[in-house]
Amino acid sequence: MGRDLPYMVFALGTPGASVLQLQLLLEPARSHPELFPVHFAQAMSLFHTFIFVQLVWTYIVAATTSSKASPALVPVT
Amino acid sequence: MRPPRAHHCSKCGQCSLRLDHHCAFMGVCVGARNYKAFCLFLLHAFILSSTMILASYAYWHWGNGEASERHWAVSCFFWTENVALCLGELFVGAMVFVHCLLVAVNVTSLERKKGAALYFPGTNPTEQVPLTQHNPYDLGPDQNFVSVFGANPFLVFWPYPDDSQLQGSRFPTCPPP
Repeated sequence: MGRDLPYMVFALGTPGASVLQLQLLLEPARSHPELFPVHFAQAMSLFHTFIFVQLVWTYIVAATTSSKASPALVPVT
Repeated sequence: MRPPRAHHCSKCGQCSLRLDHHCAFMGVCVGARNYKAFCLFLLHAFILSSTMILASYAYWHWGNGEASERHWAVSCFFWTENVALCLGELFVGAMVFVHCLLVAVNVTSLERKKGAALYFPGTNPTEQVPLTQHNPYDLGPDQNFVSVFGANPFLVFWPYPDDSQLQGSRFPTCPPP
């Protein structure tokens, strides 16, 4: 578990850092509303947040669910 | 007796049902009970990276101010993160592609590696056929998809496995051709 920790931090850290960029979505909308409507930017920002929450949830489920075979099925021989 | 498709993981020191691989990014073995969550994690990571790359593109082209007017710290953060995002996108995209193919033919990563060394009963009861010639678990793309993501289309994005489909120690097989 300990040796996997850097990979686990990277797996969530990289998308986590992208949340900091959420504000970037709104800046083009403010300066060029004709090219990038504000409502579109807000919808995209909401979608991004939803996907990020899903990402963290699926990560937690996958990392905490064990597929270990029952000892009754796999005797130690 | 060992259940079919169960394997021992030397990193975890335990046997897992339908073992796919040991995932260093999650620190666990990906097997029968968490393969669906793993696939959904990959898919969401791919979508997230794609939206961020598109957002960065929009910011760089239509954001306030010229590139030369931006603070150097903003530019450093921007480029470092985008390089990481693009590399991550390539890695995750390749993983999504590979696992789509594996789900479509109902083969685990481990079975794909050991393909020629895994034998199953052939047409003749005394005959043994390698996995590369006949995969007994391949029931067609539709059924293979259902075996991983469940039969209910409304629960495809629910990360917990469908217990009605998940046998773990028993798998429906198709007869050899």
